[in-house]
Amino acid sequence: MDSILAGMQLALTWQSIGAVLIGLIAGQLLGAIPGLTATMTVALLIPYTYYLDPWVGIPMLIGMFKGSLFGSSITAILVKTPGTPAAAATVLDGYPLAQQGKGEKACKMALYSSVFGDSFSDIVLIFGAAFLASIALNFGPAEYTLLVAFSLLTMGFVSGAKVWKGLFAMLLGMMLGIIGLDPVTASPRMTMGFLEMEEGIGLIPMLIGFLAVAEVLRQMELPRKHLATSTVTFSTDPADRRVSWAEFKSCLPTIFKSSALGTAVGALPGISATVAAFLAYNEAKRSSKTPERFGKGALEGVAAPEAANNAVSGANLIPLMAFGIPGDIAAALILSALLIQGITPGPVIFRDNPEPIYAIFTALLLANFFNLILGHWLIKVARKVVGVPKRILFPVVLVIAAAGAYAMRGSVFDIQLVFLFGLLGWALTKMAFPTVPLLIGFILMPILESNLRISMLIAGSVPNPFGYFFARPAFVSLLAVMALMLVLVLRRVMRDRQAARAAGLRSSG
Amino acid sequence: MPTHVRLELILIAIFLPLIALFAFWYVPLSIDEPKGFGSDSEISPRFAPYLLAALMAAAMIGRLLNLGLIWLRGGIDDLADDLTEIGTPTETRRGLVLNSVATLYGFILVPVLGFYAASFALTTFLVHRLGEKRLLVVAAVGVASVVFTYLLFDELLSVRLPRGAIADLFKG
Repeated sequence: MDSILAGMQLALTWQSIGAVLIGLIAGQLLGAIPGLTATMTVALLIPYTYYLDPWVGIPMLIGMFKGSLFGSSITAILVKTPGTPAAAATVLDGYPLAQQGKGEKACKMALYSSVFGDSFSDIVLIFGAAFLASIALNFGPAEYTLLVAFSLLTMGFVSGAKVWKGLFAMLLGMMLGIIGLDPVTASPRMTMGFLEMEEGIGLIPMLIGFLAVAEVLRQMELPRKHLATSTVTFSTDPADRRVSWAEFKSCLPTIFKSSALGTAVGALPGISATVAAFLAYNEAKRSSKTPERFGKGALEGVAAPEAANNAVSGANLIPLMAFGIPGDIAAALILSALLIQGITPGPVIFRDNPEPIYAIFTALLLANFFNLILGHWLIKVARKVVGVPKRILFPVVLVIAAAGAYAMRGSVFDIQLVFLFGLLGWALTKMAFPTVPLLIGFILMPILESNLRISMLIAGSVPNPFGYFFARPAFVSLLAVMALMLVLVLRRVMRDRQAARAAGLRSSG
Repeated sequence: MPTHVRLELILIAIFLPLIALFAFWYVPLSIDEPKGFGSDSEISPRFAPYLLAALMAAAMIGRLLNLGLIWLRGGIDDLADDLTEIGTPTETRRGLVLNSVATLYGFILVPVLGFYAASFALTTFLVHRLGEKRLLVVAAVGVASVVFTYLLFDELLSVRLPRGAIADLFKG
């Protein structure tokens, strides 16, 4: 108890609180710029933390990380341009809501779900870090393969478009995802001789191209009178500008489930917040009684990805705090900042010197609280920015998108990719192909392939390959859960088709 | 036959040969089978492209069979139309022009003129083309976008945006 109080005292000084606030404001503003990911904002701040007191530098980093995750959602909702890849799934229902004049409501729902997801995973981190990390460590390549393959399987069938177009788009995304060096033999695949392609296609240019540039180009082709208005008009009805308690309550099961999913995914090293957001969105749609509302402006469609992607941020710290193993790049950067300050996370610190850990926990919860307050301010600022007419805003968005894509790797090639993917995204939209399965296929394929091949290599080196898989309790449990979920998905598809037939419509296939 | 079904058939007619070309010509040509390290790997580097190409072809053949069955049952005209929100032909033509401008910016203007000059040219051109008649506003938007990106990226984030081949010539 003394350690907890001492830790809280470290984080509750006015310098620490000020640092959290500065970090949050900077993070929210930078996170809203396409291409500047939460990881990048943390990376930019790390060198400066060396010169700061540990309990100024670390709370500032935490604030910046959390702020950038929420900031990215604002542009995802209002201008269909996610600031970070993690907010890409938020576009799906956030943007349609904004077009209905409910942009402020969508932003507020994103804020509340973000803070809920964040706080949920922070509490899990505080109370269950060691337990969850031990479960996560049982997940090997075989379990990852199963998890990703299942996500892809359900994605193709519930994409909402004609099934073949959904599958084709997903497979095309997977094809783009394998460009680069082979994960086992390192031989180049489909790089067309470009050295830049050997690293693979960057996620940032891909997302900016498909979501921002394609949409801006699609909007710019509309008649001029349409472009003289602002990107988003805000309804004057107060009900469209706030989230009522009834609305929040109806989304609460989704938020809770997505937070749990995000926390579970975040505890697994190597799976990003982007993946968690799409998984949560899929699950919210799959389990909804009215899945047809998704993609047209469902509040749950905003709440699910936002709760999940923010839950990942806290959960990523679980293996870091419990074992000193960072769960993703952002956690690795936070680890490096802690090491700079002479704090080495892991089981030993919990036993010998737990005050800094409790100070970090306090800073995490503090950042969530201030994120909630400052988030309202950011929404007001964003309202003014998107009030600019489209003919002025869209060209500026293209320029910022190009700069954001360049900033990640410092390569002009990435700017070119942004416009190539913008063209491809525009063309696919014209042919009524859904782009979401393509993006999910692209994100998940490298994880699927490398884990599948490592599993095959391991299985090939033991006398009984099947025995290897079925002797793993985590694999068998996961397989049983997935078989059950697959049955539920297929039942839903069959039921929808029967309902469509009963309504006199023929299934479009 | 409805237009959307005809378009689907045209797309499949284009994509199927392309997939075949990819699998039988491009993959063997561009992806080397490993020799030495990795040659004993359980799965070849060509496995994923072959599998994905086969699944893409299967999705399209499945759709063709599905359409064939629907046609035999006489229900081809009742199929749901998914092309309702793709815009008019005029809009598509305008979109093609705008795509060309964006491509020109990314592939020629930025590498040659540098990011700032190219961005000024792009924003002023687009703002004017999209209907802004006041030249002062057009120029102000161009300058503001350049100043904003410079302050944010070059000054605040220390990311030096590309200066272009022309600036490199002068520097040399």
